[in-house]
Amino acid sequence: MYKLEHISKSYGDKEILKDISIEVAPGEAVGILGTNGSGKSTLLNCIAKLHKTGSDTKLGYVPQENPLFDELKPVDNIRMWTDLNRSQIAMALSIPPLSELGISNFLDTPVKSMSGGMKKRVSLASVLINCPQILLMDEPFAALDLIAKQDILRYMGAFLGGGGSIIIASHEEEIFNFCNKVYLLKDGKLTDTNTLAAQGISYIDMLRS
Amino acid sequence: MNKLKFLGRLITADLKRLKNYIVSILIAALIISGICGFAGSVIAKNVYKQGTKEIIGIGYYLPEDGKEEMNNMGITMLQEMESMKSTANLIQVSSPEEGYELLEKEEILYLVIVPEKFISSIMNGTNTPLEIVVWDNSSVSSYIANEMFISYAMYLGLAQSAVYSTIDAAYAHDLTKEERNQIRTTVNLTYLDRALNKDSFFDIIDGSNQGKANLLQHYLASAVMLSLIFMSFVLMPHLQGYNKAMQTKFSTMGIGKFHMILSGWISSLVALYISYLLCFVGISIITNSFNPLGLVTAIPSLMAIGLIISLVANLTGSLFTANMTMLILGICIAYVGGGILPNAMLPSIVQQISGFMPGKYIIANLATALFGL
Repeated sequence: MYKLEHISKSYGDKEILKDISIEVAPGEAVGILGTNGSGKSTLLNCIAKLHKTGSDTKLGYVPQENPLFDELKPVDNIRMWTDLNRSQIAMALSIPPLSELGISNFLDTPVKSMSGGMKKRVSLASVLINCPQILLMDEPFAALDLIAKQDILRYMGAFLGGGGSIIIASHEEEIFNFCNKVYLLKDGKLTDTNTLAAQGISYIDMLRS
Repeated sequence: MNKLKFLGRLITADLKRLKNYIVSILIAALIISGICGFAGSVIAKNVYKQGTKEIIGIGYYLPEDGKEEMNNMGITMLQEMESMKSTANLIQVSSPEEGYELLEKEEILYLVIVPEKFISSIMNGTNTPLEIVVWDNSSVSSYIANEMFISYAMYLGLAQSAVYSTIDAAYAHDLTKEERNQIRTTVNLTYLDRALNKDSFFDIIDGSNQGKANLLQHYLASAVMLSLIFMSFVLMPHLQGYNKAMQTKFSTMGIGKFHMILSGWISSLVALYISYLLCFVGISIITNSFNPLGLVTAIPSLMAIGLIISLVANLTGSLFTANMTMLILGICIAYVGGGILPNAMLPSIVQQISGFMPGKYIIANLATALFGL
């Protein structure tokens, strides 16, 4: 079980996160639901920064905006985040499970000429190449078409099946149908939505209430 | 992952990204250095009017004292002197009042009013003084004129001593009156000519290569500095290429602003060196001199400029703000460093500040590197 407790964050006088605790089990996907500006990205940033590098549990962070240099090729972008060399990267991306991402044939294509979906895959690859146990994903479906979304969902399923855990921040309903647990982030606090969802209350109504 | 290792990868990635900007850097370097170099040489020529001379007008009034022939002979002798021909235009006025009018209209800068029997007074040692009128007695030019007339008077005094010595010697040798008069005239003309025509005593030596940059070298070095500073307009998109997501992920690796500034500094240094090489080759061809040490000795200046660019890139929010900041900074650095106007023409407070600003030292370093001083 991966657990982080007592997370608080303020910007000036405004308290964004108020003493939040979160835990996720292996093979489990946890969703963070919230309106725009509720602090979802802030929560994931805090989790990423609080996680100690060098700890036994490897954590990979996939931000909403792709952290890629457009001028460089995918292989050079990925090299920034791993100790592997070019040929090792190419090898890792050509065999399962990373081959599922489908970027092994595009390693020398400049990132600036890639579609949004391909960029997201490269972004994912730069994280997954280090075999993390926990994945933090911030709005993974932002600016993706239906096919790209399905591909990403399929890969997330394979990752969970391999024993990995995912914490996803989003406001897309199909992601929460995929998650084992969904929390509502509102007024800086996390609330478990499973009870409300079991009563048939939709996520939109949860956000409005 | 080790922080230092990641920093190394960031620097490597930034240098790889720089490859995409090489063509832009070269074209920008050619254009910017061309414009700045042209401006530099125009300033050098026009600030001190180096290589040009302005002929000033000097009005003179000769009295009707029965010595017109001698007075005219004196004026003719002055007009024939090479130093007078190239610096002054002598204009005779019919009265002092006419001279004052010309002064007021600024057609002449000085009015010399010759007293009656002036030349006779020099010949006989009574030395009746000239009256010299200037319209504005508080300017640098009137001060210079004052000093110039005093020095001429001193030379005349020296000449007079030599003439009297010669005449005394003539008397001592029991020469006839005609012989003495002939000697007196010859000696007068010879010594007056020698005393007033100082070009025959002095050689004008070009002061360059005495360890300091001459005016043209100074302004070309300043032009190169400005070109390098304005290369920031090409470099900014590269240096500000870390999006928010990237910066967030950097922070999870312990990489902050300091590391990004450091990486940007190294990229800037490489880009600026490429631009500098272009300027170095161009100036070497134009001046027909090559200083191989200049390929290395300019590096401190490039490091200083690169650091400024990287700091502005990483500490400002948008591309527009960064570019405007560099534009204003560049002009300020050049102005305070004496790169636009000569240091001596700057207000005294600015001259004092310039010692604490990088511009002065960058220009001096670049001048040394480019011209082998």
